[in-house]
Amino acid sequence: MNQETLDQLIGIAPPSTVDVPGVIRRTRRRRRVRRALAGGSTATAVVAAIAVGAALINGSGRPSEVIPPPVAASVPAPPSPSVSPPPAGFVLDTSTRAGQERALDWLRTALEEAAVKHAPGTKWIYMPDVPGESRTPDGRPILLYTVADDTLRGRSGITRDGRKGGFYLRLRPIDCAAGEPCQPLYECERGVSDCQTDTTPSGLTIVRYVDRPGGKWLFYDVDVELPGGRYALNLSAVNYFGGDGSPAVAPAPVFTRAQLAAIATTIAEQVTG
Amino acid sequence: MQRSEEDEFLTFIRVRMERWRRAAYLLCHDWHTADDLVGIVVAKLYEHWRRVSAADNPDAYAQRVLTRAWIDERRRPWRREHPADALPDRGWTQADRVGDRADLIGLLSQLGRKQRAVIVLRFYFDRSVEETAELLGISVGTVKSQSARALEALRALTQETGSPQ
Repeated sequence: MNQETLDQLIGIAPPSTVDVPGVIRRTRRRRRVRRALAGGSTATAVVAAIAVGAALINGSGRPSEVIPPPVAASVPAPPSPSVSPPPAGFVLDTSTRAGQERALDWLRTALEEAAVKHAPGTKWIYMPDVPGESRTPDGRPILLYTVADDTLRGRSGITRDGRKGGFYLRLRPIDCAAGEPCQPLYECERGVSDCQTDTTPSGLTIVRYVDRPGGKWLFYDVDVELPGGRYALNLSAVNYFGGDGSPAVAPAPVFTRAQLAAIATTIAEQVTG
Repeated sequence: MQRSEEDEFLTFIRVRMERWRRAAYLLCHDWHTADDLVGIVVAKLYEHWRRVSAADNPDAYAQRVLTRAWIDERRRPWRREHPADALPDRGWTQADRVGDRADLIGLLSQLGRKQRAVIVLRFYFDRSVEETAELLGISVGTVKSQSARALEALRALTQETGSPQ
């Protein structure tokens, strides 16, 4: 048993999608950000505020994805809640820090407004993710942008009608042909009954599926392509509360499948490109 | 990084890329994920290239990064993690069908992450038992037992296909 034998069994590999120049560019960019943070400039506090929760969300704690935050006192407060619904026709642009902040603000407001509309009575509460993390206030989902994979991530505990559970969000690139590391839009596997692919009223592809990973866990997921085809929004409602591996706290997630799909559709259809 | 260093790095990567991709495929059974894992290897090697290139065994470093990236990958794309005891390791079963990629993947998918990493390091990268134990941070005994079970099942698979041993 050796490499030759295993190679024969593996067969022919598809063309590589590893974009070495792209990886090098991103690695250099991370280095520049780390050097800027180490320099302690005011501007770097903004980047840290964007990335500070990556350590909270990314349970693996992989150093390559986390930009270390500066001293806690220099981290600015999170943005104040918007008092009006987000404007229609949001243009997603994460190429700059300002664009990343705008995207986070827009997504947080869009999510909260959509939950009010489709699942009234929902409350966002703090949900621990990893041991030893600092508690954040109830009332708003944690949302962060990670530079390494150009992804906006969110998580929160949610309560409604006396039930409690977890909620996750990812807005990620799906244009895998560009060579960037990405995960394409979810595809239903043949024969899986709890997975449906449809289109939203404005023609976006939306996939709804159920994951039963064993035990009493139950996850409802929605994956919807955003206008322009470069990004997708994934929402996941789970029936556990806490970090990965936490026990189920209810028979089902707080959001129903229909509510989750409606929330995802409402958010997705606000994007123009 | 100076230009000459970067050229050296790119040459190192280019020569090994396909082998890493195929090893990653053995680990994760998906070419997209395999390329993501290789991307992690490239990034870490680039970040630490001066140290890596001066080391005694840059290949071992790269293989450690690849297998560790696979083992440490907790956020799978479409599901949350679950505790290890919820998915007991069923171990190898004898192959009873004609061998091909699906059968190989079927066999490997029955293994836990570390077990697959042992197989890849031992039989694809041709690491010794001791080297594999050191790269993965596990005991020599564990490597031996995992290797023996895997070898038995893979031999049965290759005998079905008539592939050379």
